[in-house]
Amino acid sequence: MNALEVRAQIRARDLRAAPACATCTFFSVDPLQIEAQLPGLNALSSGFASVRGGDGLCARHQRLLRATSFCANYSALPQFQRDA
Amino acid sequence: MGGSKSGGGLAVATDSATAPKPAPVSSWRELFGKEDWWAIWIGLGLVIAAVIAFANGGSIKWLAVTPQKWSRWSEITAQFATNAPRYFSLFILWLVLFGVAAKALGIRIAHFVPAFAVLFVVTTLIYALGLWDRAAYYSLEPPLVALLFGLIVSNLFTLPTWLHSALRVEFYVKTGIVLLGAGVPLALIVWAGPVAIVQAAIISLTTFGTIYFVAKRLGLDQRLAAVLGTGGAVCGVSAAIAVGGAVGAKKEHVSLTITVVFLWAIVMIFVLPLLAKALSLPTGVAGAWIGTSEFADAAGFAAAQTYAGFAGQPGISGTGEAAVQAFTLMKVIGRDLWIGVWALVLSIVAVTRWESNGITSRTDSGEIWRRFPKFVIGFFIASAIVTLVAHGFDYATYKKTLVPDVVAPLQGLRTWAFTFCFLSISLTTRLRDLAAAGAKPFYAFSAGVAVNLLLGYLLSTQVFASFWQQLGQPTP
Repeated sequence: MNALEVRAQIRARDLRAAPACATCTFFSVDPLQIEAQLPGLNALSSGFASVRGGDGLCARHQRLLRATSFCANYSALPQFQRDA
Repeated sequence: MGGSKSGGGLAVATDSATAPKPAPVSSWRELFGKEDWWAIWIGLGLVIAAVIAFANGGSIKWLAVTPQKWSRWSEITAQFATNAPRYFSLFILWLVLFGVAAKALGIRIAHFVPAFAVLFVVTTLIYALGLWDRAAYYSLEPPLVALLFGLIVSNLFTLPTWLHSALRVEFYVKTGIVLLGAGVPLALIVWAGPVAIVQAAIISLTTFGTIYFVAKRLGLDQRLAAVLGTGGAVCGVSAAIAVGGAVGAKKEHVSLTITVVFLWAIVMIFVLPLLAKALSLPTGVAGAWIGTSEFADAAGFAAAQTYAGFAGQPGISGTGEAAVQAFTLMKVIGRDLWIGVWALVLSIVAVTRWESNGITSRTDSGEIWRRFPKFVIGFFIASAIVTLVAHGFDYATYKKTLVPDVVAPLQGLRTWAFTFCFLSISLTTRLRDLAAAGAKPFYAFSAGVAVNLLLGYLLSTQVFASFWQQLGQPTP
């Protein structure tokens, strides 16, 4: 394994370990909440559609984001809510 | 109330009875947490039930009751009186199938049951109205009646909240598409698929390029331009949320894209079939044009089903089924399948070339599968099952046994699912609730609509016309 591959592996491990939107207080993946936040979504599509993947709405940035995204404003959910 | 985590003002009252987990849905949980998979379970379950009944010398046609042609009021009331047990059984079947799915999706079942009962009754009346022998004369095609009725009701009156529990447009249309697979031979998909993909690639790239270019020229944000572009080029509102999430678009940008897509999709439901009728296009050609130039599956099926109703009228050649099949091949196989690829490519562009939005995103090729419209798998499997069952039958036997005992009842169930969908579109639509779109996004998207409409017409009626005209030919 050369140095570049080692660096790539370390980076991949760090990314996996990094906090992400999925466990952030500001992030919501509830399909019904997403439909309520995006008027008209359920008229021709759905919050339950596969094409949405694991995306959710970020209340901090007011953006639709992937659950694997992260930012400096990350605020971890309490463990009991993660396990809910 | 939904107990999902929320913060910073994102808490929204929903009637979700169960608390969704904060983490993204895992692969296994997705099998029961997404509408796409439930559409597959329900659609394939019905196909398999039809085949098992056929293999045992029976048929599900008693259950798959549909209104028949009528000319006098007394005839239709007699139909309902005679078939009341069948309609009631069908209602229970749909209620159980969709109700179990709704429960699994976190929709409050106490709301869903009465709401679905209302939906079923109104759908039955609209379905029956479309079979009045004077319906064509007054242009009372069921999809158009369902849309107009719902738009009037939902915008003049405030519907009770519980009624919305059963208005699941995408769920019904996806279930209908899986059932549709039973009527499309696998050989037809193999034969027509590549042409549909080529035509769709031309139209998708051109439409996206036009909208993106005009949006940028008008000074709009790159992410907004991309979301608008894929909304017009691929699969409408579904593309808007898929690409919106992939590139990290602002919520307001996704909302206004939904508004613009929605307005044009509704307009096209009425314009495309009427324009195609005025041009006397064969049903297969019209279906391909609708599949090329409509923006959302549900709206497109409404337009294609409307044109299917014109089959047999003076100047309109081809079968009604050809319009629906051509639409499906163009829209679902030609355009929808590729949304994951669009999302992956644009997410890479967003990360590497666009201005940072302050959020770090990770992307990989798994994006293609994560966003793959899984219900299409059900469409292919349904087609494969019926093709396999039909294998070995000569054409006469196929027409005499398999069609009336298996294919026709599944077509009837499909029409029910689509009509639930058409009514749900309009009853869900409250124009005053849609986000304000603004002039520039509207102009950019409209430029794409103009190019798409013209190019779609040329590709469907000139370049690939002879191909689309062959659809609907009587081959098993």
